[in-house]
Amino acid sequence: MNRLPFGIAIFGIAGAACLAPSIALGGQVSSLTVFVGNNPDGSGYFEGSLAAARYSPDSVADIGCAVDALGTPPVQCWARSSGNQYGSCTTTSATAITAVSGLNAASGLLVAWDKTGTCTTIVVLNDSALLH
Amino acid sequence: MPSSRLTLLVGPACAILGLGAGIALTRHPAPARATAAAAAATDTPPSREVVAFVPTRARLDDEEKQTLRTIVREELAAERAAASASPSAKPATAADATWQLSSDAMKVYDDVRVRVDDAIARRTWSNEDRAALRPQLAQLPPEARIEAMRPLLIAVNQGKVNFTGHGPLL
Repeated sequence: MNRLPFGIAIFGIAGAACLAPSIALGGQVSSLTVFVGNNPDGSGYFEGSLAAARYSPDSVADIGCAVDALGTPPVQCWARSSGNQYGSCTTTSATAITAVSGLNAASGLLVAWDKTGTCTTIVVLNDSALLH
Repeated sequence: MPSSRLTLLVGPACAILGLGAGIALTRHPAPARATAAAAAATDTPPSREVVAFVPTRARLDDEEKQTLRTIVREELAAERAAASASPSAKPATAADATWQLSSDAMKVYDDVRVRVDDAIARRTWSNEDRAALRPQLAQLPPEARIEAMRPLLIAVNQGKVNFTGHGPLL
């Protein structure tokens, strides 16, 4: 009778030891919160991860790109920060279409545009650390 | 005198000077500090062309310098004004764009621009505005869509128009 609880305890400790790594070590996590910077001449820059925008504590943050060959410019990218700063740009670049098509839940975006609203830089980060 | 002719004369003149200096130094042991130029001055007649190359001090007086500065400033100002008024600085329009529109497409383009200009005047752009414009935009080629919406895009990025919706602007 006395040995049964001890065996259960050993089993429980061993089980916990096996499970612990899977709980505590989930890989690196990084939060790329949405930032939008607008210059007076209309040029600007934004960065952020899709996950950070989606799970932002506010209902304002938003970031993304759209690829549409029919109703709107071929590529549009936009972001709105938690502080309600909004920026957007467009491009017809074929390489931009390819890059933006690779966006997913683990993606981060770094986008810059000139004073005409034309995207000059589109960097798509696909990083497991951004998935959360 | 043309500069090429002047250049041709420099070589012989220097040769004559050097020759004269050499003869002078050989025949008359000069004082330790005597220079070739001094010897040449005594044994060889000076050449007008060589004298012309002796560095001289600037002969502009203060008034002339001030005049020159004024001219340079005026030229620079004129260049800057010309650069800012160049055709590349003008905003693009449907008429001078590289893409061509049919008369029907041009009418759609103009309608889009009316809505865009209205939004800029109202200083606001909403999801409803965007949804209402999309069917018209779909009738335009991609470059025309972008150009039609560009004033709105610029105005939003400059903070002159408030986009009240979410997601893409267009």
